[in-house]
Amino acid sequence: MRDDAILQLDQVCLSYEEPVIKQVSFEVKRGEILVLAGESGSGKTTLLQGIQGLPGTGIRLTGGTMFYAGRDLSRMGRRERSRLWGREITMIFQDSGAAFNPIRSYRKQFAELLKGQGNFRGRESFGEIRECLKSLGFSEGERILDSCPYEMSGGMNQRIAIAAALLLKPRLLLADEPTSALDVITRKEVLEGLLHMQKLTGTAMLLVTHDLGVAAKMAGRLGIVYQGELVECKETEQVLGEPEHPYTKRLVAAAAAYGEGWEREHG
Amino acid sequence: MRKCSFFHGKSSRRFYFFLALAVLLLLTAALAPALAPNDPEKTHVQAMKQAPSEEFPLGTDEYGRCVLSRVLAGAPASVFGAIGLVAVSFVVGTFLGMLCGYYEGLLDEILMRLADILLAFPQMVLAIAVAGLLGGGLKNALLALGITSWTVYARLARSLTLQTKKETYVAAARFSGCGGLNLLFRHIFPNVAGPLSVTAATQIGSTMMGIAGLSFLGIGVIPPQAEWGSMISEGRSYMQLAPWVSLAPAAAVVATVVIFNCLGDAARDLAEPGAPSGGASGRRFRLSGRRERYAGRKRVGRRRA
Amino acid sequence: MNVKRYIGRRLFQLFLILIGVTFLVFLLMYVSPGDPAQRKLTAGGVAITEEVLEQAREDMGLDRPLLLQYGSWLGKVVRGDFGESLHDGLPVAEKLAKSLKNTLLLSLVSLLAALLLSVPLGMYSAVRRDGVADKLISFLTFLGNSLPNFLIAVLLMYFLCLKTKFFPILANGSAKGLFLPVLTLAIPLFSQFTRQVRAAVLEQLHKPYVAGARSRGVKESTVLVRNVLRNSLISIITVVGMAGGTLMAGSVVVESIFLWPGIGKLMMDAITAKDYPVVQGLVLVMALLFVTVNLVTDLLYHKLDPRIWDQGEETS
Repeated sequence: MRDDAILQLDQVCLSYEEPVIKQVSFEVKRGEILVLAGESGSGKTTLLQGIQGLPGTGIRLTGGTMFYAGRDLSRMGRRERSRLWGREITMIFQDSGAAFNPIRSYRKQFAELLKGQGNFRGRESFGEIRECLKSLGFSEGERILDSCPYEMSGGMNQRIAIAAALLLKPRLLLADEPTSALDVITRKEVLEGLLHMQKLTGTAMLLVTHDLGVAAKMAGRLGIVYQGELVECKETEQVLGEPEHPYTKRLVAAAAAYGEGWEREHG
Repeated sequence: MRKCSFFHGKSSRRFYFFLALAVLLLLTAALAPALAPNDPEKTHVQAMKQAPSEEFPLGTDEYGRCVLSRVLAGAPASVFGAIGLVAVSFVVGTFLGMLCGYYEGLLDEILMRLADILLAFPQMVLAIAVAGLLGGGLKNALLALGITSWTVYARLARSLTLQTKKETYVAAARFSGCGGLNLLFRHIFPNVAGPLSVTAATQIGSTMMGIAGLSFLGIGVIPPQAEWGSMISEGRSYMQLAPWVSLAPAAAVVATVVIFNCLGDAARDLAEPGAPSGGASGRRFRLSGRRERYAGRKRVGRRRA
Repeated sequence: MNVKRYIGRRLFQLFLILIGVTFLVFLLMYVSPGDPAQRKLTAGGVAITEEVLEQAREDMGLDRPLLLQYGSWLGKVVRGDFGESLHDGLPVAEKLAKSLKNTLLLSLVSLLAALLLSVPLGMYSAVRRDGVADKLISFLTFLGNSLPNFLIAVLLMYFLCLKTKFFPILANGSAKGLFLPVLTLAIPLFSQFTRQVRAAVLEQLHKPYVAGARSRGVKESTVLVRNVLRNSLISIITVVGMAGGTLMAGSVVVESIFLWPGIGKLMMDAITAKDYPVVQGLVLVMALLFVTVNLVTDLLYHKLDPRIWDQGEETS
C-alpha cells in the first residue's frame, strides 16, 4: 500500500440482489480530485454509497478490498465504520435540499453536525459557520441559518452543503452528481465552491457525474464507468484527448457534438 | 391501520386463507340453529351457572341456558349484522359519492357538509346517543351505526370519481354519446370499486365491535335474544362464579374481529402490492376524512426547486 | 395563506358544525318515543293528571314547533344557560362541569400513558424492523386493535381484580382505582399510536436526509430523535388528534363499567332516563371538544411542517 493513497479499491464488486459494480480498481490520492463519469445506471452512485457505507442501502461488498487510509473498510464493524462519517469521509448529494432535513433550520442542523464532531461551542461556532458561508459567497449568513432547506433554491442548498463539508474538513469528500439538477450558472458556482474548498482544506474528492463538462473543469484524473466497470482511468487531458475505450470515444464525440463545451471550459 | 404482520408471506395466499376462514364463519353463523346442541333460550333450573360438561360444552348461565348454543345463536346478529350494514353503507355511500363527484354542484355541497357534520362527532358516541334515544333493538343499533358509516364510502367515492372523471377515456366515452348514470356505472364505477371494496373489507371488524359495544351497553340487541356483547355484559356480574358465561362470547368476538381485520389487511395488501408493511400503506385509503385531507397535503413541493 | 384568516375560517366552520350536530340531536329527541314532561313530573313526584301534564308541556315549551324550541335552547346556551336536568332539577351546566373534570383527568392520564409507552416502542420497532421485539410488538398491537374496549375492561377485571384481587373493581377515586379505567382506555390508544409511530418512522428512515445526516457524522441518537422522530410527529399528531374520538367513545363504556362519574357515565344515565337537556348539553360539549381538538391538530401540522403554510390551504 502506497502512502499517498487515501482510498484504494482493488477488484471491488458491489451487489444488491444483482451485481452492479464489477471488479473495479482505482485509488484516490491525498488531496487530488478524481472524477468518475458515466451514464446514469452505470453504477456510479452505488460505488459512492458502497464507499460511504451507510446502513439501509442494501449494498453488499461481494468481492475485492477497499482500503481507507490503510484501513480495511470491509473488516470494520458498523460502529467503527460510523466513526468515519463526517470528519473522515462525507458526502454531497445530488439534492442537498433533501439530504438536509427539509423542515428544520440550517442553524439547528449545522449545530448538530458540529456536535457530532464534538466541537460545538455555542455562539463561537455560529461565527465560524457564518465565516464559512461567507467564503462561499453568502453574505447573509444569519438569514441562511434561520432558513429551512425547503425554502432555498437547489444551487443554494448545494453550496450550503459544501459549507457543511468545509466545516467538517473531511479527508475524503464524495460528491454524487452535485450539479446535475442545476442550471448552467449555478452549476458553475457550485463547482467553484468545491474547488475553493479543495484549495482551502486539501481534501481529496471523488466526484461522480454524467457530465463531461464537469469532469473537464474539476478532474485531475478522470475515470469512465460503463456498465459497472471502470473502462479507463487516466489524466483528464489524456482521456478526453485520446480516448481509448470505444465507449469513451462515443461519449467524448457525443459531448463535443452537443456542445457541452468542455473543450472551451477546459482550455 | 390494523395489520397482521405476523403472517408474512404471499399476500394472495394470505388473503385466500382469511377468506376461507371468513366463509367458514359465515357458514357457522348461517347454520347456527342446526349446530347448537341445545335450545339457546331454554332455561334449565336444575343446571344454573354450571361448568362446561358433556351436555353443555361451554357451561350454562344464570338461568341455566346453554352458553355454546347462545354463542352460536348470537353469531348471525354480529356477523350478518356487520356485513349487512357494511354492504348497505357501501352501496349507498358509493352511489352518493359518485353522484357528488360526477355532478358536483349543490347536491355535492349539501352531502359533503352533512358528512362534515356527522364526522365532527366521534362516530361511536353518536351511535350511542342515537341508539339510546331510539331505544334498543338490532335494527336501531344498525341504524345508529349506519348514520355515519356511509360517509367513509361517500368521501372516498367522491374523490376517486373526481380523479377518474379527468381521464381521457372517460372524456372519450362522453363524446361518443355515453352519458349520465350509464357512464357513471360503466366507466367510472369499475375504477372506484377496488379501493372502496378494500375499505369495506377493513370496516367489517370495527362494525362488529360497534354492534357488540352497543349491545354491551344495553342499547343494542335486547335480551333474551342472544348477542355476544350483551352476553358478556350479563355474565359480568357473576364472573367469579361462572367466568365461561362472559369468556365464551368474548372469545367469539375476538376471533371474529381478528379474522375480518386480517381479511381486510390482506385485501389491502393484495390491492396495493409493494406497500411497506406496518400500516403506512393504509394511508391511501383513508378511513376518516381528516386523514384523507392530510394525505393530500403531504404532496407539498419545494418553493423554489 | 394568512394564519389569522385560516383560523377565522376554521372557527366559522366549527360554529356551523356545532349548530348542525346539536340540531341533529334535537331532531332525534323530538321524534324519539317518550315524553319529557311526564318524566319530569314523575321524577318530581307530582301526581299526574292530564291537566298538569298539559301545563308542564306548555311550561317546558314542548308544544311549540321544533325550530322555535331549538332556537330558544340555542339562545339560552349562548348565555350559558343549559337548562335543568329533568331527573334531579340540578343545572345542566353544573353537572357537565363536574363530570367533564373527571373525564378529562381519566382521558389525559390514559393519553399520556399511551404516548409515553408507544413513542419509544414504536421507534424501537421501526429501527429494529423484523426483529423479535418488532414481531412481538406488532402482534400485541394488532391484538389491542382487535379488542373492543368493553372487552378489554371485562378481561382486565377478570384477570386483575377477581384472579389476583389486587385492584378494586370500581374506580373509587384513589390512584389504585384509577388504574384499571386508565389501562382500559390506554390499551387501544397504545396500539394505534405504536403502529402509527412505527409506520411513520419507517417512512422517514428512508428519506434522503437520514443518509445525509449520517454521512455528515451527526450522532445516531440525534438523527433518530431530532430528525426522524421530529418529522414523524406530523403523522403521529394525526392519530393523537383522532384519539379524542376514541377516548370519548371509550369513556362512555369505561365509565359505565367502572362507575366513574364522568361525561360518559352521565351520557348513558341521561340517555336511559331520557333526560333531554343533559343529553343536549353533553352533545354540545363533546362536539365542541372534538372539533377543538381537530383544529388544534391542524394548527400543529402547520407548526411542525412550515411547508403547509407556504403551499396554501387545501381548497375543500
